[in-house]
Amino acid sequence: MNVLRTIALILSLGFLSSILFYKIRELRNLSIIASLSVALGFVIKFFGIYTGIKRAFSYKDLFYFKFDAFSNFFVVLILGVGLLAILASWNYMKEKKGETFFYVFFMLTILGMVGLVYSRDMLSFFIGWEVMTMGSFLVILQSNEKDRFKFALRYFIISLIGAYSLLWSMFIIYNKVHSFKFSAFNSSVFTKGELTTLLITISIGFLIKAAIMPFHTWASGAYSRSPLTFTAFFSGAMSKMGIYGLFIFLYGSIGLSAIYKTGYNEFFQTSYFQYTLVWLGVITAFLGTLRAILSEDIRVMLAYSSVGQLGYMLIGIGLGSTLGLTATLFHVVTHGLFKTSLFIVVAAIIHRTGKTKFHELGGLINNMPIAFIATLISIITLAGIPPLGGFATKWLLYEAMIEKRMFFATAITMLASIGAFLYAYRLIQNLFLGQRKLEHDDVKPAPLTMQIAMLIPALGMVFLGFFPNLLIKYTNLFIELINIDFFKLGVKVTDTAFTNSYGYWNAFYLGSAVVIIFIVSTIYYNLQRRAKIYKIGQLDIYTAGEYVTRETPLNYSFNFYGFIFDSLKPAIKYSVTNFITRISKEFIALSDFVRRIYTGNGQHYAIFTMIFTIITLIYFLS
Amino acid sequence: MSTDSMYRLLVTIAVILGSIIYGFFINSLARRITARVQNRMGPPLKQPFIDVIKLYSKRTFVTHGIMQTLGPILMLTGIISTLILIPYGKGYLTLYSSNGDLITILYIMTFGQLAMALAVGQAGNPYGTIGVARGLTRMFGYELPLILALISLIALNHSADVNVIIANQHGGIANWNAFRHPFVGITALLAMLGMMSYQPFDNASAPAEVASGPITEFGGKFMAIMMTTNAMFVVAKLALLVDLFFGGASNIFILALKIFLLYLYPLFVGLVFPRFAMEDTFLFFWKWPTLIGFIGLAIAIF
Amino acid sequence: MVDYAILLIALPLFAAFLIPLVAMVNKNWPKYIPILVTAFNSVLSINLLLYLNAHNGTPFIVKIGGFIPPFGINLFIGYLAIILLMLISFVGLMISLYTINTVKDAESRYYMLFILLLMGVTGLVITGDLFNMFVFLEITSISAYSLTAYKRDGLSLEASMKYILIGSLASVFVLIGIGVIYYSTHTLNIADISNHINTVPKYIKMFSLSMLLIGLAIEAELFPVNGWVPDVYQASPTPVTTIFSSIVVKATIYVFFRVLFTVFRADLTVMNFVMGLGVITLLIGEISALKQVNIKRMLAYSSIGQVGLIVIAISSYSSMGVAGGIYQMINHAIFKGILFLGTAYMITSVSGTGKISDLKGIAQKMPISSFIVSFSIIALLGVPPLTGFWAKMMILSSVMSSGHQIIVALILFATVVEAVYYLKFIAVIYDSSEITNSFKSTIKFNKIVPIVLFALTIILFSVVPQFLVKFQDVLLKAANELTNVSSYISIVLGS
Repeated sequence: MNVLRTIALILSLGFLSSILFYKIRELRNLSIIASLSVALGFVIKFFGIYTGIKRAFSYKDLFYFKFDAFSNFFVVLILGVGLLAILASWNYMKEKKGETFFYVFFMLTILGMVGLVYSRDMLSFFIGWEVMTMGSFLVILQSNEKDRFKFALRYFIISLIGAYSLLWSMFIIYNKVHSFKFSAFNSSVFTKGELTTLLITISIGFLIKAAIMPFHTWASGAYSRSPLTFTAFFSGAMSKMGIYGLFIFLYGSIGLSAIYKTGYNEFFQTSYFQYTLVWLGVITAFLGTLRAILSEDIRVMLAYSSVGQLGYMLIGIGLGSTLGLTATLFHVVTHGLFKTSLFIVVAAIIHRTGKTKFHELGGLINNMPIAFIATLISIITLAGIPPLGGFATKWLLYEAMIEKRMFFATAITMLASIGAFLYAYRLIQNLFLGQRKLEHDDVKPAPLTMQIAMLIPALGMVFLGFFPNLLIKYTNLFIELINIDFFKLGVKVTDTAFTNSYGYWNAFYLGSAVVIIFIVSTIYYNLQRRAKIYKIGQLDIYTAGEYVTRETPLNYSFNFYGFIFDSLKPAIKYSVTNFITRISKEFIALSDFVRRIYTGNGQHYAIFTMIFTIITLIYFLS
Repeated sequence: MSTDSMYRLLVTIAVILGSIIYGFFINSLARRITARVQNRMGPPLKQPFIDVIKLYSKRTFVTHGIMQTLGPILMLTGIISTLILIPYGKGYLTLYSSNGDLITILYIMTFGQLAMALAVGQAGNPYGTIGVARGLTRMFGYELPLILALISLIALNHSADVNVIIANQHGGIANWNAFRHPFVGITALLAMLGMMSYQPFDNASAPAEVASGPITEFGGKFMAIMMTTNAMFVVAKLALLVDLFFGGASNIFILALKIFLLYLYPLFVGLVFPRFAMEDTFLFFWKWPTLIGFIGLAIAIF
Repeated sequence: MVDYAILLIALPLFAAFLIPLVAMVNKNWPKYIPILVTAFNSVLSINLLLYLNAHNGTPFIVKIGGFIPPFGINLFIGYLAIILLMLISFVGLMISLYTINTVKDAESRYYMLFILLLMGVTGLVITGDLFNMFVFLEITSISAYSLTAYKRDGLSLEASMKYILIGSLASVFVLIGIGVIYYSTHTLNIADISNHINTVPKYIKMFSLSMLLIGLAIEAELFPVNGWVPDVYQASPTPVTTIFSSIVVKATIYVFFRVLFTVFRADLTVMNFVMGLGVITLLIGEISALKQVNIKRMLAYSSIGQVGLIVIAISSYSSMGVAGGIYQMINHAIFKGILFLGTAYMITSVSGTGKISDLKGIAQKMPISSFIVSFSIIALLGVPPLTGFWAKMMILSSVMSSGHQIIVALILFATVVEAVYYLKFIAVIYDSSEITNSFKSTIKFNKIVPIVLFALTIILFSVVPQFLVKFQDVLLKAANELTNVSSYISIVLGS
């Protein structure tokens, strides 16, 4: 039996049942969840085992699919995050407008993504890519936001530009090598200029999907206006497709030596193209973080956070070394985990309170303890604080950048990750801590399915913090698979200790030390004679004479980092979004001008005919 | 447990306890010096010890919630974790620094700060939160030059290993990074002003302006733990800077001396300058120190 | 024998003139006659397809009156002609269904003109004689002028006037072209002219080519001589507009390229000129559509753009490109069928004036038609794996392989522009706010059925891969019939 056909069959059944039972909530959701989990189990079971099972599938030499560790890594992410998101949607989307079609299009998106990840030729890749874009566009439309169409449209149009940039390069390649297969790419038939153009157009296609600056303008709107459980998937799994695409096109198909042909820099031991990618990633990481710090809407903040985090992944891709790619893949997983968790937490909060701004919330820790724990773990991972999983990415990435001697880039990236700490703190402070609003006294905990969906990734993050080597084992497995031309520099992984030529870090020892110290401190703290503890309310505080009541709680949350905003005011008014908006306005003005060619006057049309006649005659008779 | 690891553990515990005592000591010394500059007598040297013992022995305390109780403990955890990754000399005094390099130290430092921020948030005092926001903003400011300085060091030494950086400074004052690479040294010293939270960059705690900032709502044991961790943290930060820029130390006494001398520098700067506004603090670090840091890094690379 | 193929033209002609008589018997009967005629033609063209399949797919000729080709008129029927015939009769059938009770006060002459229009178009795609072609073109045009003016309000009369003005120019140009060519080759049979075209002096050939190119470009809606299109499309009754967009322009494009490829054996210079025209038409059409407020006008500009795309595809002169162009013709006929009919159905339900904003939130009341319209828009944009995508793939790959990378980029750019206004339209119909217009909730089956059938065709073309593969072979053969001059000559004149 062909393992790919089986997976396709299972997922298609899930898709069909989402259509057939679109009105019967329990049956529909259960069948989708069953289909996704069976597929997931199937992929995990055969993750690295190939014997006895056909693992490639092709049709008429046009469509070619392959089942290997490289694809499985991403498929596990897609199905896993998809499963969590659908689980969370069970309660989140319940009795909301658009509930019925939400699942249909969600499954369509997943189908497209799984298809594109398993594909080993550009044509099926593109088909999967477009199905994914279309599916996600349609899912965004199922939300209840008033302005969803505006942002969905922006997302779709920009995605379309990216996709067509990709399509164009596909045809350029096809025209020369006469095959759509990734493996058929042959750099010797291209000139240096053609290769450079190809690299640029291909990257634009993927950078748009990954929302890398300056192609990020769709991200904040699309992420924040989707149904939020879908955003968890959107940001947690779908944005990674841009990264996957870069992986397979740049390193799996075109190959490092061909990229080097376009211009190699001895000092940075990399090509100028890759160097540009790194800096794009650095700028995205930094500016995305800055925008996130200054956001007042939770969803927008998480959206910009995603933009920033994708920047880190791009840096790893741009470095192109084993260490860099490992960092990227590691971050793909950790970001998938914490963003899924965070978006589901935010979905739960918005679901329960209906508030989307930081300053409208606060003090929910006692109402939503599970959500608080999930958020805490997630932001520790997000900020990359050891001993949780996020630090592994940071360490790998910085070591990889230092290894390539990109010190300036490293410095800015590190600053960006400090910035991540700033906005991450708002998530916990302005949502869960501080003084609770009177109207939120009766807020119930997050619904059960959402609690499950937010806790599972949190466990994953803790696990990865102590045993990052287990994931590294898999990333190494498929970095070999996509045939990177060189293995000169690498990270040595012995158990949980990471070593490279610059530094070292032992995750397990460090994590254990932290845990032991924590336990010792707690014991020490509690060893002292137990004193009577008075729990006092949040109104019994030092207020410097201010009179605080439940009706007027004192919270510091609006314009939290106003200092930064004030300091950077002159720079902040310039934004790519404004620039793009202006360009599109100008273009519409142009279209209005072009439209006036059709004056509606018959005589003008006759004159056009005459002019055309003259031009034609001149052209043909000369 | 082998004797080797046993010794290491004992030394570590000794260093932790020593850092608490030393941290209080230099704190108290600093208060005396400040007083003399301002033509006062100042408190006796034992004052901080008396304070902290008094606070520890308080029996009744109040709490606003679980995080206020857990926060200080986590903070202690974070600071001790930082402390044990920094080498204080040779041999057993390197403690557990072979488990993490400079990048690890830089990141684990934030663990304690996050813990404190959580505790402050649970207390529900807006002054505390303002203090945290200011502290984080200041951190966002001074981290840029600090990172530039550290990256320069990594570039110069081809290693992120603190022990290697110390070893490379062997052989006299002229080989110390602060003097051998003056731009890097100046950047680090400027960034340090922000790190040590003395005037003019004491916006976070800003006495009288935002009550006492983060510690506004803390008393009794919480206060005691915060004071303890603060003392440890000061020692840890200074020890790291000494290791990185001032040649490290062959024995613990020289290290103590260097730490004290380095501690005087932000103190004296703070005595001369009044407090900056928050915006100015933030922009200060992103202007001159950053520029110098970039020059230093450029020199380091090329 | 397949001499019955002449019935494709003869029967509609007969039926058209029968209509006044039928109307005398019963006023309600004429409206069913187009259905019968188009159904008959559909059956006949399927029959021809079977015949062709049984004979290895070699095109055949039908000699009218038994005269041997150079001396008599012949019909040329291959896969291409049959594809177009099936398209004409199928779309014609759908529109005839839709037409019932649509056009206000539809009199018998409306149906008569309707059938004549279809007859003219049918003749255009199967005739093998140049002058005969002109005659069919005139029949098509004249019935089109009259149908445009059928509503007899200011708008339609003005549009019809413009159409006549420009259309008569087209006729003149075509006639001059044919006259010159007849003068120099002394024959009107396409194959025979093609046989002798190289003996004609170059400047005469080029002059005649220019004349025919200009005349047919007007009919084929190429920029800059397509000024009449938006007005005519907007002013005509919707079924007529649909026929213009889905059928008439396709047939004229066919004629355009038949003349260029076969009659003049056009070389690369001509084809590059035509491709340039196609690119400009595509861009201007799509960009102009961006700011339209009237739905029919927007669709008209979109049609112009699509014509540009088809012309680009066929003028790439490679078999894959021509096949893609033919494929896109079929797609576009179906999509525009859905779009024109579907939106008109929506507009009549809200008794709007045809503005896009009138359809705000209509999807709540008319979910099926809204869904089908949106689906066809998505297919038209070329979202894989729907049918529009495969056609676009063929076109793009052939244009790319002919070395025009920039044109590929421009086509993709135009598609993005197209996506903007079409998706904005979807945004309007799926607006969740309340409907402001009065809504008459009457489900009319004769309106829903054609739309649904069209949608089923899209699905058939999209998701049945076996069918697609076979279909591609047919398309390639059809393309070959259009581009391979020598086989055309040998089939018509004998070897």
